[in-house]
Amino acid sequence: MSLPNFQFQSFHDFLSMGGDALFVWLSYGLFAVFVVWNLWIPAANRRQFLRMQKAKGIGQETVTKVTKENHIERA
Amino acid sequence: MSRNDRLFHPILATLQRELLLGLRNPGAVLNPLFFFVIATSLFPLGGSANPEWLGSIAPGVIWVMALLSVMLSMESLFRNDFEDGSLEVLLLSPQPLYFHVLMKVVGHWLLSGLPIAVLSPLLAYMLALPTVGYYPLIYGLLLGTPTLSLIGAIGTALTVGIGRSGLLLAVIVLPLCIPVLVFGAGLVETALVGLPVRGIASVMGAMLVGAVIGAPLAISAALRISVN
Amino acid sequence: MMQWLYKLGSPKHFYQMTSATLKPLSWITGVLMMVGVVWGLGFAPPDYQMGDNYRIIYLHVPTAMGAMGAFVMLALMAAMYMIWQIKMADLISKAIAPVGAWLCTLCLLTGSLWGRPTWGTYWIWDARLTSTLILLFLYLGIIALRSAYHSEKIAAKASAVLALVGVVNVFVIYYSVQWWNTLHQGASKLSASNDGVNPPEIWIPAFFCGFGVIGLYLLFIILRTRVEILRHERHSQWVQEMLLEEADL
Repeated sequence: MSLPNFQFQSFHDFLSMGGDALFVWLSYGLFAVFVVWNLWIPAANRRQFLRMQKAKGIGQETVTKVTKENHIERA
Repeated sequence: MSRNDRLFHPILATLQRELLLGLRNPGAVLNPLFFFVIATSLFPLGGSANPEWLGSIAPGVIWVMALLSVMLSMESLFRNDFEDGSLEVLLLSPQPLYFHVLMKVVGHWLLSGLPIAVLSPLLAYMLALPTVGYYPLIYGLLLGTPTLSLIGAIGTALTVGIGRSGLLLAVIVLPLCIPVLVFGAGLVETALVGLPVRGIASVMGAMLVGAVIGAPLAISAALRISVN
Repeated sequence: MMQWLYKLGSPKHFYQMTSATLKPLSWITGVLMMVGVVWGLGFAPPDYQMGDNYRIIYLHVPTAMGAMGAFVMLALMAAMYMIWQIKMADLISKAIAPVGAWLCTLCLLTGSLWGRPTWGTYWIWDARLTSTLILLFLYLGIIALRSAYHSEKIAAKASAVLALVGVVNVFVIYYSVQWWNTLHQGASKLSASNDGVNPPEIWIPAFFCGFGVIGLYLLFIILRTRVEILRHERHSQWVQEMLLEEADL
């Protein structure tokens, strides 16, 4: 098996996909939307979570607990 | 009183209570039946009164309407018991919950699925179903509606803690009911073209047996989750 | 191995272990997808019957397998949660449901975009199409049930029960739809149209896309699960310490 060659004569041929450009490119476009959306949603949720925690002052009660424990450890 | 009486009497009492509650509240029992009749008669009005066309869609229409009216009646299965606390009592009863929920579903079917099967020839006549289809329609409904009640009860048990859950119930339960619908309507259609229907009836019977064995487990688990 | 699985069962360890794997996983997935897509779109030879529109199957087949595989995994996680009360299993299944629904939708969309030039129709009530549509309904039901509950614990258990009921039913549904399709012989029966053996030039890019979609699936599940872990464990000490560190930066 030799190395695969580019199957289209020109870039324009590549874009027209043998006349089925709409179907092929729409499929790949929808797939791209799927990828971008599913990368963006968790990132956005994560940012929102961090913002909310920051607004709450990063859980005051536990912060004091943590520092206390650190002191005990040092002592 | 023997040991058996102590085990089975309370379970039969659940069935008795279910039937009694239904008879005391005829609206809840009759409304799904009215819906079944009214919604089915919309098809000639919305489509065409041409008997040939009506006859060809009749098996599917009657089965879909039976499915929808069973689902509509389902919502009340555990709702009132949940609100007045008797569901918690049922969960605490010393008898296996499995049989209690089975009896509740049986009681519910006697007041919803059975009347639908009994009413179906009337609608079949109105929709000009050829006469060979009557008998398969009736016993298909007798075999299929209990399965629908059992599947629907799983959804009802899962959503009983959510107020006004009718639409949610439909969304989660309707896809699960597709096999019953497919074989139920297919049974009638097969009979219409004169092919043997015994195999299809056996499949529906098998689904009923599977549902009787499996569904009460899921219903019990779902009730314990919902009631907490 | 057991030790490793046991560690994955703890949200903290899952979070830490996935932190280390995210970068390599993204790279591998990205490379696989890029190679598969570029090769499939530009370098694979056109099909002698279908011309160039067959290039859609490089996305269609992987999403179809992903949609089905995700449902099985969802049910496995539900079973693990119900039997052993493993919290992680629920957090993962919460992440699987939307990704599975997405894969199912994509499978249907790319399928109809392929069907239009190949069979002349976007939609036909064929057995495979119909069962995929019903699978999507099952996903939507599970998502709807979970979002209807305010209590996270009840939502988790209720959707686990529904997923288990669903997976038992999915086989019955599949069988019934097959039977229904033979009963109503449609206008045209779709053949898979790859009866002949395809040359390696055509199926090698499909491998890249297949593993690429598996990588994407894992990546999306992990990303969603990590956010769920943070939300679920927000009162725990390790999350608070991590937040403190991030606030310092």
